[in-house]
Amino acid sequence: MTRLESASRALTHQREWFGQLREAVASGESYALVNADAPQEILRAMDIPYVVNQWWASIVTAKQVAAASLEAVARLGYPDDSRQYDVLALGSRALEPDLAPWGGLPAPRFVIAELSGDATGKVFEAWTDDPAIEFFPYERTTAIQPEGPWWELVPHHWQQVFGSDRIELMAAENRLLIDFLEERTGRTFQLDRLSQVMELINEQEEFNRQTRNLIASARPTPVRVSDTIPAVMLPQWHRGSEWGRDAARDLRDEVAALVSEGSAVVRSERTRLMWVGRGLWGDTSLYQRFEEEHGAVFVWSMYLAIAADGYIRYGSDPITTLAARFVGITDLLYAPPLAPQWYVKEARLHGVDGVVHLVADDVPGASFITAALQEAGVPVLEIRASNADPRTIDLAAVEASMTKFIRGIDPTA
Amino acid sequence: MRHESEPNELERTYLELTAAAERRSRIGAPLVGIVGRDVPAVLVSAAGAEPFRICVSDEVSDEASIIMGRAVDRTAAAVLTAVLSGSLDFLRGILVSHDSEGSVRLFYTMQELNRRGRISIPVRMVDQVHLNRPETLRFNHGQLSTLCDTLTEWTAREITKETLATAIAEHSAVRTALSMMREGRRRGHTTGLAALHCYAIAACVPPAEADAIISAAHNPAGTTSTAGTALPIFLTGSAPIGDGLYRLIESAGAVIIGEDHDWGDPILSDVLPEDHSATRDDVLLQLAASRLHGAPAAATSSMAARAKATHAGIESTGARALLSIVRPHDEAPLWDWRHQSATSGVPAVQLREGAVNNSADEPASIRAAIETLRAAA
Repeated sequence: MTRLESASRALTHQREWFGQLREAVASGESYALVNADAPQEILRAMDIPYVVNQWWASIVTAKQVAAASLEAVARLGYPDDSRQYDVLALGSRALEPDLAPWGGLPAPRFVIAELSGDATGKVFEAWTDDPAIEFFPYERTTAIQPEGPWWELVPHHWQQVFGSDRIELMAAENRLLIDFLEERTGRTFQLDRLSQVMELINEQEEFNRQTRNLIASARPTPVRVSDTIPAVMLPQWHRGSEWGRDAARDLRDEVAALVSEGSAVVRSERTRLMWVGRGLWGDTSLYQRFEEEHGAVFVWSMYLAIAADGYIRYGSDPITTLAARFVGITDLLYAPPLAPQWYVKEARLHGVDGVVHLVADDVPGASFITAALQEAGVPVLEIRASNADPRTIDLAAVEASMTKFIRGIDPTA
Repeated sequence: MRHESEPNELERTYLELTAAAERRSRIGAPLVGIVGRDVPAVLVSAAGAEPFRICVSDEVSDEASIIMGRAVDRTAAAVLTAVLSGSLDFLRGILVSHDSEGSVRLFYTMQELNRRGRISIPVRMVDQVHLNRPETLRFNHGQLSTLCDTLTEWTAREITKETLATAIAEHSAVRTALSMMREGRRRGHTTGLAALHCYAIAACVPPAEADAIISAAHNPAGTTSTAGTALPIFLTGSAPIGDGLYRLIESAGAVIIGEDHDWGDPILSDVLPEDHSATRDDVLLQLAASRLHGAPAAATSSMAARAKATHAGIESTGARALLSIVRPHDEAPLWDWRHQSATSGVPAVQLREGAVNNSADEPASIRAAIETLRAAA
């Protein structure tokens, strides 16, 4: 049972929104499926509906149909053990109607993604086996070393974090995407509208920053990550809308009230934990399982923290500013030295006693994240699995190793 | 892998590539290491250094494995193993291609290890990305311009129009020798193993020396004909580490008559500028454009482009079968396979996982695959 009204409202809104999207598509509307690491703001500004691939993957996993979806990928003749998080949506299209979550994902008109890794582009190209679907790819350039702590620089001095060459390439690709969409939808892109979208997003993420800071300084923690994840991420997928901005404000207000009331997830909080890596969508109750017996609470996930630190961008040209938001968003989470430094900063800010680090196949730099945290004096438990492929994860074994880890770091033990 | 007979000069040169490079560095030649196909070696030569494409044994140390993580193509961990061992310390610096996820992770790792003081070799990413768009070309062009600055920093020698022209002439001679070798290979005068050795020598040995060795090797009088009972196959999948896979396949009754990995025929698809009056900037632009138009690599190309290139490769070589061998965590070839195999026009088999490990059943699985292909061809 969720404790946050904000999370419940976001879930209700998401169901209603998805139902409306399905109806619109059924009546001939085009929509886009977009990977989370590609700009969605242009679609927002052009009023083209979109679904974020990772959100849908989380629904497929939470509804326990990830394995069936991956089997469908294999039946298509593609590997079912590569880029599972990216490919679940494609596989889910083949689910029987009674298994398809939320009535099923309709066929998109466009798919949009960065060419990250060796196979993400191929995952999205596979959608175009249906000739009615077109793929717009973005290049994925390589991270540079920032000229200081990136979380302080990115709102205004993003060129010092990502480099002007990389940003200019992505800005040019943003313009290509606009042309691509205008040609195919008959809609006209308005720069002023994108500026409004960008302003709304900065407001939304500033609220998320305030929420993160409230949670970081509260002892004991007033909210669970299993609550904050939907309360942050569902509005994130509606970034640039007034609803998204208002939902982030409401979450900030709700958390502020809980803090001021002295509310606690666990009154006898003993161990504060940080979950580094993607969420375990197949069993989010895992995050709560150690509260009663061990007084151990997950106080941190990347979802609120990256919303707080990674998305805010101020700039005069919205197309270039948008490029500066996305050109290195994944680097901030995974690439050294950007990512390790940030996780250490966040661990200290939240006063965590230990970190559980989910290491997926398709992310670089995991060993440096673990090493940086350990060098900062924070114990780390690494779990190696794909969060989107239940076949790769033994939840009982994970729980057992987490129990042992938590016992080992309990400061009162 | 144990050699069944005494190695010939080509094999000896191949087996000694790193040791010979280290010896050359001791007598004063500056060498710059290259990871992957997407770094224009001619720029290294134009900066007064020897380009040395890093070729390593299929050996991964525990330290490299822990740092890289297990979920990465073994090539990257094998290169890191060599770097950590100090066996590449003779290099003035290492240039890493953006040719695969493994290379990108290797770059991040070496950069971080450098920052932490664990290794001392300077490393630089040569960020050539791959969509065939003017916007990408402009970015890649800019990256090559800054690469020139890095090379000048490493060698204290400016890259000028004149040094570029000289380097292009040297590398073009090697390419001519490689082209002739490729023609001979397609006529059955050169084995796939010898071709693999020639391509490696071209990438690791100074151009004049490489030209002489390759020219001698493809002389039909000096090589064994591959025509006869051997099944001519086109090899796709993971780029091999070392030459062990080629030895296994060709000792199992097949000859590799062409391939699409970046230690083989695709090297010749990256052309060098021919306009000798071109400015330095023009040459850089042409180099950047060349790679965008070159043979598509698995990790950086669409499935459609790969299928088309595989079909063309089979047609141009006269291969009678398609064999794909894929290492763990090398994802791209797995995605390519559906369309590659469907449009190849020849019998096709893909082997995964243990097929290229040093496991006991490796030769057996490859022999079985070749027998399957032979029966269907």
